[in-house]
Amino acid sequence: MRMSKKLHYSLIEWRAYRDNLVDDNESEKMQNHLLGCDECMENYLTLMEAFEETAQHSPVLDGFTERVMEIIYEENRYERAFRLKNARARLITYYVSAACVTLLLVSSGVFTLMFNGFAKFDTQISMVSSRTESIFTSGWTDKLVDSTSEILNISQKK
Amino acid sequence: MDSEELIIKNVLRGDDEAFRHIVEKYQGLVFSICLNTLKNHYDAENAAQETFLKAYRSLYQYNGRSFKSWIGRIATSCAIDLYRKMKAKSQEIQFDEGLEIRDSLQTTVQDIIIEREDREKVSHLYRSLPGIYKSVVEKYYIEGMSYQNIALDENISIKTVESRLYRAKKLLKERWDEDE
Repeated sequence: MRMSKKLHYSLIEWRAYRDNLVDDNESEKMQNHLLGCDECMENYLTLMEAFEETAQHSPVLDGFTERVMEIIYEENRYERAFRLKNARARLITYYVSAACVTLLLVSSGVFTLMFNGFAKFDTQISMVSSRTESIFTSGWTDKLVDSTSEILNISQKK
Repeated sequence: MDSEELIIKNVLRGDDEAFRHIVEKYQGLVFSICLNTLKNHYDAENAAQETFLKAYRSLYQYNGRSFKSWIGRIATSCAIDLYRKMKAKSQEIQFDEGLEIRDSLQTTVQDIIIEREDREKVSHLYRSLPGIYKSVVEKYYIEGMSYQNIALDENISIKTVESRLYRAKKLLKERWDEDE
């Protein structure tokens, strides 16, 4: 029954495995193969389905569904609470870090430096805008309107 | 859309109760697979519970083909996983027993500190367990009550006591590994 890795176990061999007719060593080899081989998994599941359908007694213990549902409800609640707790802890860490960085920047004078830099920049902008105003003091929009009207008048006379 | 597809969609929309239909429909197959690998009802039940929990948590990954085959694969892998873990554990116990006498003579201050830290960690993890598990763990490990007495005290079946203890230990181990 020893097989190379590339080959598959036959349906008869899987039946023997299902019916506990193979020794422990071989059984473990077949299990290892089963987890990595889709074709053998399909064969094994087909045999297990047939086995389950023809079984005279259900192997399931009483109250199984209730126990599974209890686990699902309880562990869902637990997971949600755990996630919420983690999210809160992350939020607190975030705010504390932000506060620490702000305090550090204030104490090291970075904000003062930035403020002084902005003030200087503001002065430069105001200088540029006053220069621009002096260039356009003659009212270039008025000039444009006047010249357009003149052109229209000439064309109408013609 | 057939009823099974509808059930799956409802579970994915957050209706946990709909999952009950899936458990009822496939428990026979799942249990048969687990029992076939593990050879005893106690371990088969634990593997079968794990299968349904895994199926519930990864339902969004289900590709819409044969659900029977999908859950059958999960059951096979859960049962084989548990079988391997149990085998590794029994080998570990045999190895530990051989070293027990030698270790008892070599307990250092470091060992004591590690043990104390481990106890604190276990105690912290225990406090974070879901209520129903915490109560069973306390009664079994701290008060030393039997399964039967816990079942009477909590008004549940002995199987439920076993199941809660198993899940509690599993959760503790998962949390422990996450912290490591």
